[in-house]
Amino acid sequence: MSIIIMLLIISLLVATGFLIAFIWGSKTGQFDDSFTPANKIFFDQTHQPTENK
Amino acid sequence: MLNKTLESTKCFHCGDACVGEPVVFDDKSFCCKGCSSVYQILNKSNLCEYYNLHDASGVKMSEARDPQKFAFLDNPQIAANYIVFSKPAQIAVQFYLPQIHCSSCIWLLENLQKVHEGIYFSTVHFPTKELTVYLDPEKISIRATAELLGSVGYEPYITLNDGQEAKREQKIVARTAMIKIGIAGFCFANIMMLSFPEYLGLETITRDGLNANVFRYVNLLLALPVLLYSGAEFFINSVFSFKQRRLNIDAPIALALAVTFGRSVYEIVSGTGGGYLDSMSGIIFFMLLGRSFQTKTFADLSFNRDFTSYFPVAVCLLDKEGNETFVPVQEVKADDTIRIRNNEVIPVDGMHIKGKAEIDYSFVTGENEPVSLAIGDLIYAGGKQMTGAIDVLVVKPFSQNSFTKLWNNDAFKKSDKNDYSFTTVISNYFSVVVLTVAFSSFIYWYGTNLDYAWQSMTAVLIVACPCALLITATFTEGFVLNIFSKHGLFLKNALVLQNIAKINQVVFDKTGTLTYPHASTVYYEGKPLSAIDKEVIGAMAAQSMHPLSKAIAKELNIVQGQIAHIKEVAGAGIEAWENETHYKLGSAVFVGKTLEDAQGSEVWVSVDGSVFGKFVIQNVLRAHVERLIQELPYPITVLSGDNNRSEAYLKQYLQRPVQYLFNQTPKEKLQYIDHLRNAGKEVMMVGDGLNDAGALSKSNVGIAVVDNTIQFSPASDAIMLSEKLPLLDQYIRAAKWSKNLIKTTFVISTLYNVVGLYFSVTAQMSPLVAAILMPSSTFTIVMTTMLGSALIEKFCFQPILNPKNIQA
Repeated sequence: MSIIIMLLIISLLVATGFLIAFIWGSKTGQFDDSFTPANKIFFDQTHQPTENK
Repeated sequence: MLNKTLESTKCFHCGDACVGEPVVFDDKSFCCKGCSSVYQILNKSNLCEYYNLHDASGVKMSEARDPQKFAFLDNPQIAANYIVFSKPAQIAVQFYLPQIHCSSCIWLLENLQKVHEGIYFSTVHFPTKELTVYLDPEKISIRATAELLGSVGYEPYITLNDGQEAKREQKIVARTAMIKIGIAGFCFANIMMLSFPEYLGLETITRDGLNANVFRYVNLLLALPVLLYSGAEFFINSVFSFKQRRLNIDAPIALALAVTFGRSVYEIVSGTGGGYLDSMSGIIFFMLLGRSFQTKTFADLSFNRDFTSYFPVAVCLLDKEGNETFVPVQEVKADDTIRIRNNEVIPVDGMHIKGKAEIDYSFVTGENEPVSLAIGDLIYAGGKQMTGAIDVLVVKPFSQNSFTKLWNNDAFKKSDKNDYSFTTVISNYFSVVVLTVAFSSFIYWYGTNLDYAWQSMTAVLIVACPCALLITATFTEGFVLNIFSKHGLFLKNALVLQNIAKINQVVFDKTGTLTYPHASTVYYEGKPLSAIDKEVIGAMAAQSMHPLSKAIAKELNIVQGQIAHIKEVAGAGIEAWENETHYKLGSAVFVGKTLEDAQGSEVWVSVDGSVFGKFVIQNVLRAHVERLIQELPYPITVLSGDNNRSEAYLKQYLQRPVQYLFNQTPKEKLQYIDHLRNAGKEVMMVGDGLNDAGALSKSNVGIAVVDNTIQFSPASDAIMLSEKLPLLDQYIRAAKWSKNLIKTTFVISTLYNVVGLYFSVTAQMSPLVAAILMPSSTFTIVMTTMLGSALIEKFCFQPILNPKNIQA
């Protein structure tokens, strides 16, 4: 039965790691702007300007 | 066919239809020179990708920009306010660019380094519409950066103080709230998972008993941060409410949380059960979620603007030789000479010494017509210069100007809004009932079984916590606030919504609120004018810069006047000699009438000394306002700082009895609202200018009407886009329905409570029952409010059909 206790501790440790990552992310303002980064991914730096409509 | 030609003359840059002959460049049509010059800059820097991301994504370049506009940024002391970071050969400056609206904007603004080599890179913060530019100060100055942004259509919006400090604080509060929710959610999910043995009754199967206890203690450990960190605000708020001797909804919630936690600790330590830590942390999680949803902030709006954000950051100071330097507005001293440019706001009280002064005080006094001043007249702070540059001798420094005094008047600051919501009232009744039930069940079991007595009493308090009410209210209000902002009405907080639902009297300001701030109509009254007279008068008017003259020239269809013998008398009128006739155009006194004849926005005409008649210039009501006035089922008052000239016009269009009060000073407006409230009315005040500020703060709901969200507006409970004003009745109806929705969902959650109470009173409350009841009631509530608010949006908000559109 002690294996369950082991698993319990490990699972909580892993989850706490994510929680700490979340807290760090919020405190440094990484969730303040959800619009800009989401759009930046679509900007193609090497895109050649095509014939404009 | 017609459609095709129309489409082909849409501006390539901003997408507006081109009026008149389009400006053609590179085979592309532009509506104006400004738009085509932006295209040329982008084209040169190989940034035309901008147009591929969105069709016609550009910001319209309407007016010619003043080359001196950002000259004040050359003053290092002023510029320092915009530097957020600095190291050798690199500084970062931050600007607020209200024009940012789409992903194309982001793309262009983050590629500024391609336009100028002095810029390293730049980053956009979309929610606050801020741009941070990292630049080399050796290669490009801060002023040049601001001008560069202006040249591509994103002119920085710079004012003395736009509540940046408050916004930063808001940001921190929002982050803390998010962390609290995150921790509560994390612990809630883990506790629920670890409670599974409990739900399935596994503690009887595990013979050594060790497992169940380990799970329970881990749960207890996980519940601590939820209660002590995430849930702390409930305890803090309730202590605060006790101190204020007013019970709010947090007090019974704090009691329920304390009882739940206490009983859970007792059960775990004594080994008799697993407690209700899962329900407790779940409830805290959902309540926090609801609150954050409801207090969603509008990052680019500010409701409590300081008056200083109305003024320019710097003024142009003239030394004895007439050289211009820019200094911060606070540093201007008495006896300095400053230069005010066209369309600038005058920041100090002073004396007019040079140039032609036409001062528009409409924002301060509500008077519609600009005031002409002669040399030597006093100019008061807060006015806006309308015709070219003037020089002003400063009489009082900025901190002592008349505008600041008006703003700091105590009567304007004191506000006595209702700050209790009807959910508080319900929760108080609710608490009384719950406590009665809890004690009754304790007394009932006390005789037979003391253990059961404690169990049933605590179970009642756990189950019947008013958190369902809180969740109901916060989620409904959150949804409705979202719907409102989608339709152009931004509320300061959820309490405003409840106050809107209560109103029974509406008060409107006239100038700028019911009427368009600038559009006007002109009609002539008096002896008919001959065609030649009309032509001469039109030409005279066209040669004057006065707004009333401009309106007359427009009415007479004359664009340019070419009269040689013309003389303008500042503050009075114009006279001209043409065709051997002496024409006079101006104020009543100027043409020889007495002051008693003067009634405001009118221009008198005299030909060869005999008064012919007058042109009357009138503000025009906003489109569909007459529909709104007819539809509103409440008494209506129109307050105006203007003269009563327009009463007949208003009466003709607003076909219902409305009380009109004219010549109202800001203080009288405030007193009128006070008078209504003392008579027991719940008043909504709708205004736009500073002269309404006092009335807005005194009313139950003060709505500031703005043409766009960057425009300076007085402190208010809500900000409304002016084109949405005719829909005001629909917002009020929606607010009333949202109150009904809260009541309905509350009844549903009470039904769940009754089921829970049955189990508690009979002392059968098992953790499993609690674990099923709590999430299912929350789920039902959230679903009902979501559905309900969608229905409210569908049935309350209907676009107004424009009769003209139907004809077309």
